[in-house]
This record gives sequence, C-alpha cells and structure tokens, in this order.
Amino acid sequence: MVHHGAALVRESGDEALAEAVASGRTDELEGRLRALIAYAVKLTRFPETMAEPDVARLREAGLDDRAIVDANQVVAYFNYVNRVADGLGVELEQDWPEELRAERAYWASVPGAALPWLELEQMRELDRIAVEEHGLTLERMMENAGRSLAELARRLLGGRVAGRSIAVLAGRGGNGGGGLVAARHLTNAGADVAVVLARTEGLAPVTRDQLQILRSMGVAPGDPPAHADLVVDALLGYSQAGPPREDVARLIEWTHGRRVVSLDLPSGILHEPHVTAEATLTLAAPKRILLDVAGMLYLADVSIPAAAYERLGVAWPPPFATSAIVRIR
Amino acid sequence: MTWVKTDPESAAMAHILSSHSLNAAALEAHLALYRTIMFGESPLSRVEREAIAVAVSAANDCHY
Repeated sequence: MVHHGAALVRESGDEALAEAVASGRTDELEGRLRALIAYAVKLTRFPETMAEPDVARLREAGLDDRAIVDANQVVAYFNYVNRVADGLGVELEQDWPEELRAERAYWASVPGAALPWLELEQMRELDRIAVEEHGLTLERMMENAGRSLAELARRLLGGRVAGRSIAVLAGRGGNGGGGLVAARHLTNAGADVAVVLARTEGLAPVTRDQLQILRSMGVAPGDPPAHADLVVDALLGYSQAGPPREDVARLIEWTHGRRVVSLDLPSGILHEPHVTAEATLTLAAPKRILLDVAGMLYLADVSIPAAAYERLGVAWPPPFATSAIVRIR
Repeated sequence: MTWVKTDPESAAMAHILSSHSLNAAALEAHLALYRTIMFGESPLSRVEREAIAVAVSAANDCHY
C-alpha cells in the first residue's frame, strides 16, 4: 500500500485521486478507472460474489478483453504479493518516514484518532438518548452487539467455527446478555459452545430472556470447560467498571493464559484481577478507559443514529462505511 | 525485517523480494511476473495499473 500509494501519486500527480482509490471511494472516480477499481475491490474483498456481469461492466466502460485480462492479472498479483507481505511479516524499509511506517488504516479499519473516545458518563448518556429518544431498546442493541461478537469470534478462529470449542462467560447484566446472543449464533453456526454464568440469580430481565432462548436450544449453563479454543468474555460492561466481585474474579482468573475476546471492555479493566484480551469488541463508540488497554480493538455498530452522537455534542465521522465491525487499533 | 530467514545476498533488495529469497526460483519468477504486468506492454496505462495496486492493497489492509 505505502509503496504503490507513493507510485500512484508519482505517476498521476494527483493526491486526491490516490486517496479516493485507497479508500475505495469509486464515486469520486470516472470512466475506466472507476470501473477498474470497482472490479479490483470486489474481487479482492468478496471473491465469492464475482459473476459474468462484473466483466460486462468493464466492457461497458470501454475496456477490451486484453485490457480486462491485464486488469485481472494486476488484481491477482497484488493479492499474491499482499499475502507474501502479511504472511512473512514484511516490514517497510528504513528509508520510509517514521509516520508512514507506523500508520496502518485503510479499509475495514478506521484510525482511532479520528473518533471521539467517550468518558463512561458520556457513554451512559449516549445509550439513554438511543433508548429514550430513538426507541432503540436494549434488546435491539443487544442483538446487534451479540451478532457482531459472534462474527469477530469467527474471524479470530480463522473464519470457521464449526466443531470449535468456545466458552462464553456471561455476567448478569446487559454485557452478559450480548454474550448469550453470541452463544446462540455460534451454536447455530456449529460451534461447541459452553455457557458459564458468573451467578445464576439476579439476572437482568433481558439477560434472563436470552438464557431462556439458549435453554430451549439445549444449551444449559455449566462449569468452565477443560478446554476452549476461544473464550468470550461478557462478564462486565462499562457500567460495572469497579473491582470485580468474587464470583466474577474467579472466572476472570480462569481466562488467564487463554485466547480471549472481550465484549465492550476486558472485564475487571483497571482492577485486579482483570481479563487480558487478544481482541476487544467495543460497542457504539470507543471509551477512554480503553486507551491504554493491550490487544486489538474493534468497534461494532449497534445502529445508534448519527443524530444521537450529535445530540451528545461529539463529532462522529461515520466509521461503518466498509463493515459493521471495524478495527480501530 | 521478516519472520523468516533470508538469503544474505538479498540484503539490498526491497523487503518484499528478500522476504522469500530462500526460494530463489520463486523470487525470480515473481520478479518476472511483476515486471510483465506492471511495466510490460498493455492497453492499461501505468496510472491505471498503479491505481489497481493501491485499491487491492488497501482492501487487503496490507500496509507494505
């Protein structure tokens, strides 16, 4: 990307064009180039969607079959060479400027610095606006959160969950409910899911409903399993950011040394014990509390309207243009 | 520089090439394909070819 980004600016003398190409903003391109970039991005991101009309669109843009073959070869070559770079850990040469060597955010990633990092108080207010002023009930947002969490778990396990063992640790509040939604999707996808509750009493009503759905599917909560390919940490959400209680602390300790994906934030964050997550899927907006947390940080869309962020008074450049789950660090 | 060993003689090459220098034949074939499709005769302009390179690498989130 860096190498050929520089080459494109050199060859075209047009930085705006290079930027539009790098962001896949084909609406800012014209004619042949627009058709070529649309073909390249579709073939790269969604190869299973390719069909003959994709080639017909190149012909309509004025490309003959030799040009189409050449375009296909360039797309295929860069997919090859990108795999060489990512699969062997190729780093940029030392003579590139430090900021270019450090920065990496293009497609299904959004630079975290471009987004507002909310205080927990602001996050509470954003949720209140979503629920009370837009009618986005907790159940609605929980379904979105849990489905995205299941999708991230699938990616972390290499794209296929059938036959994989996944432990879902669920707290009694909304965060736990999101974990239970993920447990349902992962079970439906063929994973061997073990649901572990921090405590069986005092569940929030929506969380209890989710548990009921799982029970009807034959998934009953139990003890932590001996083995798990991946642990889903849905123990504590942002509204429970204090030191973990004993029952939760015990489960947090059980996660140590395992592969963990956390929902919203690693449980026990800033306290002891806390979860150390390989990846965290935070919801709706990044939180300041996550600024120094290790591991990959993803942001999931729970469908809160732009108007809610505006009402909160924060600038919100829509981050979900390319995916409902974007990596922000 | 990479997660695997490289041929010391490739040290002056771009990292993307030296990364797989342990297979010298693959490296040679790679370079030949690269030169053919990016700089060889084609109805596609150099700008169009470099633009495809950028679009694909960005869509793959490939930083290099």
